[in-house]
Amino acid sequence: MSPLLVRLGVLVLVTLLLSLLVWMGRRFVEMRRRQALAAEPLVLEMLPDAEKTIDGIVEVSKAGADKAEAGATKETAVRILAFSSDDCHQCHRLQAPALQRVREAMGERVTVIEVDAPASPELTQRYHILTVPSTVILDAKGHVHAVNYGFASTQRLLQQIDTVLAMTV
Amino acid sequence: MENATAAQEHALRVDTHLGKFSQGCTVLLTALAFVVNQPWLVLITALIMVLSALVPTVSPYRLLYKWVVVPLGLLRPRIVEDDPAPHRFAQGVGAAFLLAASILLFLTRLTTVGWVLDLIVFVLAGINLTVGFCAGCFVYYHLGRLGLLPRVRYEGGFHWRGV
Repeated sequence: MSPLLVRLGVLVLVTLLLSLLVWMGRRFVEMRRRQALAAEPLVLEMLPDAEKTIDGIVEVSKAGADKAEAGATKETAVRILAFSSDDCHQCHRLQAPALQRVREAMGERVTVIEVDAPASPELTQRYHILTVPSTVILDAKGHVHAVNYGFASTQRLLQQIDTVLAMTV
Repeated sequence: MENATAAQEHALRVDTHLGKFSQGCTVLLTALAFVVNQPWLVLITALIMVLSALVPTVSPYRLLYKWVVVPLGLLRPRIVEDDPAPHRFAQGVGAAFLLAASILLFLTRLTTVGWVLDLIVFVLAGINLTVGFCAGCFVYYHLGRLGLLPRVRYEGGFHWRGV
């Protein structure tokens, strides 16, 4: 067999293995996303009580700045759970500014709830979080509408929010 | 949506189609080099990636994209929010692998190791091209966690001071 054919065979084999790996990875992520989308509604109306039971939700008070703002969030149509961690470079450099732009664009209709993923095992398990940053889009009743593993752009978040708003009108 | 458009003006941006074009070229060149057993193709790819990482404005991939691919309508720029720094770092990592491969292929008898390095770049560029997972960016962010890259100090109100 000519060396050219051997090399071509090796390349095809590597490509097939790579394709298999990619397919398995995609299936795994989609499975986790489906599980997250099927999660029980998160009842945010019980936020003060939830602070005692759902560990990560404590971060709401930090993100919301004060109790008044936390109270206002109960009227919002869309909530975004933003999973991050202190040492997550991408969370701070990309995701946080994108979420800020979403807040500026949507005003009071959207509330961003920052969740410290390492300190919030209950929420990370609930939404099958694989990485940080991750964002979970919830409607007013706490139902999950979208789960983004990895960085989600402003445009993508706005599209997902529009979908939720269109469904609730 | 006007607010949203205005709000996005200050975002970090990347032309994702230029990225895909660069990855596609890297996949093609590394595969071709291996199949036809031509180490000089590995060296050329390495030098292209060195330029892309160090001086992106004169990257041959970018020039080809800007002056041939886009004018011919083969691809259109697709600007998305993203940080260009990790992508440049990733190209630097690819360049380092290919330079190491070139040294092994030209100056030593460890040609198998050289071709393995070439195929590693082929695989990683292929993963980035097909599923958008950038292994070099992954390394970049983990180095950041270890404090080996400049840390972004974060103040309230989303103002940044120093990168």
